[in-house]
Amino acid sequence: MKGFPLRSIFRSAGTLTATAILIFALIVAVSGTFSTRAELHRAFEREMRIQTGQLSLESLLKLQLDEETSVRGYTITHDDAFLQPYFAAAAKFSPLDAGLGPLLRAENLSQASAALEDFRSAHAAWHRDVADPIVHSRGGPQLDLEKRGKLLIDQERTDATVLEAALAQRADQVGQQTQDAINYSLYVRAFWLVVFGLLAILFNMYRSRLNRELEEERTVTQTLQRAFESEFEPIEGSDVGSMYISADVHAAVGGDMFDLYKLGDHRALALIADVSGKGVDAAVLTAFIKFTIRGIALRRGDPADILSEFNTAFPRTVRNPYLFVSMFVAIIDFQKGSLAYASGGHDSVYLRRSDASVEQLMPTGPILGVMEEAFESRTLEIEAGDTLLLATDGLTEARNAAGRFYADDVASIVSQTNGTAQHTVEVLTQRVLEYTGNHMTDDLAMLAVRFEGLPAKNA
Amino acid sequence: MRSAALLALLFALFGSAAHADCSSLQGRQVILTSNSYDPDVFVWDTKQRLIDYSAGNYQMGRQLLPHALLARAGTRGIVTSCGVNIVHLRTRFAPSDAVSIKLASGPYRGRYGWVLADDVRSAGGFRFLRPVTKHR
Repeated sequence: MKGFPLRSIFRSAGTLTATAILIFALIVAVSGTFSTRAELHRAFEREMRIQTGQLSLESLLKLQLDEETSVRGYTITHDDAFLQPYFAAAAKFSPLDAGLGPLLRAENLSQASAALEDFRSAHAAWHRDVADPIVHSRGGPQLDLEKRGKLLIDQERTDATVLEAALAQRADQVGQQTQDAINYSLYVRAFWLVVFGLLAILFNMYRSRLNRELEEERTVTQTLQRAFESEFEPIEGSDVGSMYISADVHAAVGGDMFDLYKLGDHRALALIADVSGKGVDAAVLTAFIKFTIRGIALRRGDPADILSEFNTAFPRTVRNPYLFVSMFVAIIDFQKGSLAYASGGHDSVYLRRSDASVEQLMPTGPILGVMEEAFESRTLEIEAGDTLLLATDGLTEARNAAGRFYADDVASIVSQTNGTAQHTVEVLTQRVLEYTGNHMTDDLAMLAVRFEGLPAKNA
Repeated sequence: MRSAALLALLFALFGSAAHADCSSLQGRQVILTSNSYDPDVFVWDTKQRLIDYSAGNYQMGRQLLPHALLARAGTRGIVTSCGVNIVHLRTRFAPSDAVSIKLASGPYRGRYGWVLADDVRSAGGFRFLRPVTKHR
């Protein structure tokens, strides 16, 4: 019988929440990593570009110095060998100069771009007005040329200083931006780490609390179950076997129960019931059922009357509209060799005849606790070698991994099982565990009564 | 590396905030050497032209050029007077000093003129004047 699913809903919600938190954390971590990587990549590219610009400027100044020194040497010595560095430097100047302009524009350094333009003009003027006239010996007065050269060199130096300052300042800004990006990324990650850590701790605490509560309830329920344990009395002329299997550890204890009770010298009550709900309420209810049915059965001999009286008493006693019971009650008369039974919505009862044929004893009335309706009794003859198997829906509603019910196979397995009553329930237990892959989702109670020493039919 | 370059630049830009009390150098012998790429030194006929040249652009420089002597690096001179913090270079935030000298060697020996304090070195040991600093 399925239990009230609130705890299971909480558990599923908790698992979903934890999974969602983990996925979110993963997304944040991965996207943060990519974002930081892209940002750092851009910053490093800019740093590289600025460094390239600084190196280009340094090279330009060095070339300009080479040219100027070369011309100065030639002015003093008039030796053509001094002009070799001048021509070599002049050839290298333009490519370097050409690379610097786009770089400054990319960095949006307008003042530096203007200084570069001045630098180019001054350098071109130095070539045109100072160097070329000296190199080609067509200059005017030497002193004027030198003064003009000094003027232009001073101008270039001034422009270069402006350029150096602009590049250094921008390099510092980019470095600071990179550092800020790294710091921001670290702070964001630390924040999320703390958030996720706290959520994980809270979730773990919540889960531990749920497990603890479940475990406590389970302990109480098992204690109660032990107190009201399903039991049977040895009855002359019969062989009895029983089995009770709890569902998975994480499921609450259910309300399955059976009873075999001697009513007189040759009569016995056989009972199996399954209470809706799980936990302490269900466990207490099984005790109520056992002793109530015993009491009624001592007064009434007809199983239908027993169920009717119980059906009337049950809602008045329990006062819980959500609780109901499926129940099978049989009165076995060993002297007459008869089995009178009534079933309130309980369909997992089988009678195996000595010739291996199996009959399923279907319900003769509705589930108890739902409505007041009449129940019907049926009477079967029994003989030595017949076996009555009473089980709860843990047997018939067990499913395999494909979702197929075990109920389809029960009758044939019962038919093939010929041995003691205990052997019968053990075989069924083993088969059902194999069928479900040891994953029982509901409790299972079974009681088997094999009739022996009954009067022969013809006697 | 970048920080070192920046520090050097800042020193270059703000360095002249701490400079020599050039009035104490009167009568001392100095050597002219520019710290620019061209080590020759412009010697201006008036203090104002030195100031204008240092603050101005290339065109102004060309106009002023007839009023300057070009002294070779290493030319000796004697400090006659100075002007503190009166020269504003385009590439510096802090002002520089102007030094008046009488040239003591080279083709312009005996001529007077004004030079930047940055272009003047102490004759004894080639020591920069600038490190003899005092905050104002």
